[in-house]
Amino acid sequence: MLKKCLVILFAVSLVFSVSLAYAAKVTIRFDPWAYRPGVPPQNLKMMNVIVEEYEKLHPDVKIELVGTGAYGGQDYVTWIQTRLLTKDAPEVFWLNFDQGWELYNRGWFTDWTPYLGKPNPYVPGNKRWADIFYPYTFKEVRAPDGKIYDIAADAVGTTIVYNKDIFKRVGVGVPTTWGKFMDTLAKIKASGIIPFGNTTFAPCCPGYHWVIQRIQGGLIPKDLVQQLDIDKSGRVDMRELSKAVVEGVFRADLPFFKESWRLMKEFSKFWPPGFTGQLDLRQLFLTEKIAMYHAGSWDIPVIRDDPNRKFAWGTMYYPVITKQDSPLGQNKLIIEFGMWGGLQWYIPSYLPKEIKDIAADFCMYVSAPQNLERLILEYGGDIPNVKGVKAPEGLETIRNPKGVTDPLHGMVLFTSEFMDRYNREANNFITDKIPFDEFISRMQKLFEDTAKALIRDHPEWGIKLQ
Amino acid sequence: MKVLKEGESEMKDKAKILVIVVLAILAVLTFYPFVIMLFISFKDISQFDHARFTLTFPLHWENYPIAWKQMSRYILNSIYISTGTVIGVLICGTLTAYALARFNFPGKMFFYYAIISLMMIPGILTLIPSFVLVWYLGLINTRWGLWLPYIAGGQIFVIFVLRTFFASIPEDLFESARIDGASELQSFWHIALPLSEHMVATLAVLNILGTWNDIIWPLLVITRDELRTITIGLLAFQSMYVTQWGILFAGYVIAALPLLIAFMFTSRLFIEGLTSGAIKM
Amino acid sequence: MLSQSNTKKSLLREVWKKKYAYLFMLPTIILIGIFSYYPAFSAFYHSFFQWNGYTPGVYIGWENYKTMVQDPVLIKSISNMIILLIWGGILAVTMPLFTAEMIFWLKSKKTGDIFRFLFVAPVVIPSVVGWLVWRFFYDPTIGLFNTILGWLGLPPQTWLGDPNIALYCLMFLGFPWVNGVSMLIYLAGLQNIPSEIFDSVIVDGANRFTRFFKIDVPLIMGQIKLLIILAVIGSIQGFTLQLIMTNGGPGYATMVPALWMYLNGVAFQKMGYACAIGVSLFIVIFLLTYINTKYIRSGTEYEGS
Repeated sequence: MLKKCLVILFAVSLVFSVSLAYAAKVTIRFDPWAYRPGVPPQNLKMMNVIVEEYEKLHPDVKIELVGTGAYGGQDYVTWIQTRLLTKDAPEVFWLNFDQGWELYNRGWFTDWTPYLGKPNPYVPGNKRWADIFYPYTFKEVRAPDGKIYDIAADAVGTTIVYNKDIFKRVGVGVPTTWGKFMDTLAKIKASGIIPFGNTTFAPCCPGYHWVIQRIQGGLIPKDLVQQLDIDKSGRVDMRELSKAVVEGVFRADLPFFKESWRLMKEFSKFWPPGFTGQLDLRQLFLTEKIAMYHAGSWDIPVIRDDPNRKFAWGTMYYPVITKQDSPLGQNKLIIEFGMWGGLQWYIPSYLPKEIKDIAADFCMYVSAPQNLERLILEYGGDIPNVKGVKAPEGLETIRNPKGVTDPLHGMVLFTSEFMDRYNREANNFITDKIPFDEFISRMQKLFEDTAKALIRDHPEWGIKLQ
Repeated sequence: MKVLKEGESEMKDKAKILVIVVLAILAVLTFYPFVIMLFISFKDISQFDHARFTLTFPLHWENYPIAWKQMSRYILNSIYISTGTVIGVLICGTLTAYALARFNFPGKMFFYYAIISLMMIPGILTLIPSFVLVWYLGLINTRWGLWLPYIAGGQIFVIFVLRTFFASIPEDLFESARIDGASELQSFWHIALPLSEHMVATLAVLNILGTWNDIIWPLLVITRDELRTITIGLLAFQSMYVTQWGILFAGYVIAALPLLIAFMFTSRLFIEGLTSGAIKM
Repeated sequence: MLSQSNTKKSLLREVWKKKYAYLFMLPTIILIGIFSYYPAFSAFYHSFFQWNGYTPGVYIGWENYKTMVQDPVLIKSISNMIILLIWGGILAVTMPLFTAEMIFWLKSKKTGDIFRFLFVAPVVIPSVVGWLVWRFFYDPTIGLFNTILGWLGLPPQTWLGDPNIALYCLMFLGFPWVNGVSMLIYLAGLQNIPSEIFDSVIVDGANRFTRFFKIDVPLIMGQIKLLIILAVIGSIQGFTLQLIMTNGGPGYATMVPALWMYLNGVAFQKMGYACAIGVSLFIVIFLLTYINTKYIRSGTEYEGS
């Protein structure tokens, strides 16, 4: 009798503890960066709502919103690397896609491609998750090995903001071509106001990086792009460019490259004095010391909502470089928006598959248009990469279906070191410390050195050095 | 023959006024960033863009409660970490400085150079190896992961500075103590420490300063919210795009207050009042 | 033979006799042995590797050092470092010492304490405040200095944007250069001088300047040497000022070896190379410190019994 009771007791407790284990929640740590709720002064709430809805649908999953700070800076990159090293990174963490390119060959990231091929259960009728995004999203973030390590659900963009009152006083309109743009700048300068704000203290932002995209994107010949873009992804990544450099296909003395910097130098005459140092462009614009500047989408809400702003403002597209403006002009409208947004999702590779699946499922939920739109509109600083989602007020012009992005993507060609040296040499040239030919030959050496070093570091690319 | 108290001089009034004027000018030129920090702490972004360094109205007092809400749960942690560190640093540092200053033993110069040469190694090179070490020792997300490396590093400066102080104490004081049968520890406690009290207090405050405002080490070692320090709390106001300057600076002002109070405790009046009963030979 | 074992025996006996010295140093030695030496050796060790700072590196022997001596950026930046080094040394022994003396000789301790507070309080505020302020001073469009030049009828400068004067702008930063920490150390040193010494001097009728040079300076020579060493270490290792204000530019105009080391190690993921630069800087600092300690006599320090 006693034995039978003990056996039943044992069986019941076994069943109980096993079911308890199954009922135990899985915790997914998710870093929403700029969308994190409760951070003053914005005090967003939507992410909490989304998390609550998801947890109701999946009672066995707990989503924990985590965050550090100083995103995008050097301290953050150090921090995420230490977390990946100690296998303690959030299950969905944030990192800029180009920072990820420098780290992907350490094997820390999960390839999203298999998940992108699956249907998103939260979008009715969806066959492949990738289909809900604009195609350029993956084109932009794809790593040199062809994999997608970063899903970017939102993007930031840049545009020119201008002071309408100054334009009216000087008597100029919004220029649409490069030649007219130069004339406008000259007229404004003649009236005693600094026409265009730029600072080249660092490659970005704006720096030469934002400007060179518009210029070289508008000059680079189509057949050269086809030659460089071997995998036809629409952009030239560091692997393709390294190959092109060591084969002599891409050189610094190519006509479009030289012409880009010739135009840049002409443009630089209209920048503020001391632009190689740090300048606070938004401050100069708001205090009417400069007539226009290249602003990021995150500046626009600040300008728009500034109670002390005494002038009318507007945004305009970068002028198009036509055949009249330059023999190499391609007549293309170049827009720039980059995937450096708040919703960039990476999953660490060391997690067990079940955890990865749950984390991916949550990301699918967040990216569904009905959910993403609520987040985007509440935050108001980024534009969405998912079709059918409205962009926040004032940011509509940042994405123009008629525009194209620079296939080379400005100065983000190779590594951080490359960009740093490129920027210094560019400053030397633009401030007349070195002549044009010296600049071109130094850039050629820099291209070659960097390409060779990258090829050596990435034997998996299979490029042979002569 | 006039017998003067320490610090007193036969300064003529003219000279005294000159000194005070010069000091006042220098003080204003040195202290104004503090005032500017206060001004900015009351601004919103628009005021920051339009009039950065002057007092702008309306004053945004709400920056303070907002910053406070973000920092308050971390203040106790910062206090624990800095206090624990300074105690450890003072214990280890004063003992070692005393040994290096007043004993002659085999390897003395070797130890001295071995210790201070650690100051000559650039910190960024040792950051990740230190992190990996602390990780191996299982000290990630623990207070010891902060205390032990801080004490190890902080004592070096204390040793460096205090050694010269201890070395300049006249030998006769120790000689008479030894004759009276005092042990080395007693000489240390009753002679060396009281005579260097200003320096020890100063070094304590400097050490607290170093650990209080440190960002990178707590950022790497602590990920659990309950253990975070206030500098990490303030990071929330900075990002690569927009910085909430007004709130951030309100946070800096709040963070500076405990330090300033601690510093006031090291003034001449305070210390001499406190130790007027110290046993002196 | 006999003398050798005798020396060894007497050495061990000496060690045992002075065991309390080692006991005093024991907590220090344990802590730095674990937490300071291991990372330091790692830096030396990895200078022979191609290493990104996180994942295991590739051994490359003296490659990093060879690259270093041929690196044009590094070589050019050394002259900047030497200028900043000399300047740092000068700053360390002038303004803070001068200010500490003046505070020390104030009759009223309360006034002295107030001034002491005013000079040292700014140490608690984060450096970003100072950088914002000085960036504003140097701003070519709306900055204070160009405004002043305008009043004087002089042409505006681009200051930090001008490769020829950017370095001097960095040197001028922090005017009037009363470093709170240095001043505090000097002041504590002066306060430590026994008052009997001053009394005897008053009796002899010396005036203030003689008193300063004959009494104060020799008695705080220990602190002066110490602050010179700290200035040397700071000038050679320091890079955050250059990083924040000019990023070593325009071009390479304000680049210093320590900043190049930081960029290579942290931004370019070339930590092995950065370690090689760091080891070289260490050697330079060590030599300069050794010279300072050995050859600048302090005269009044106790050498130990």
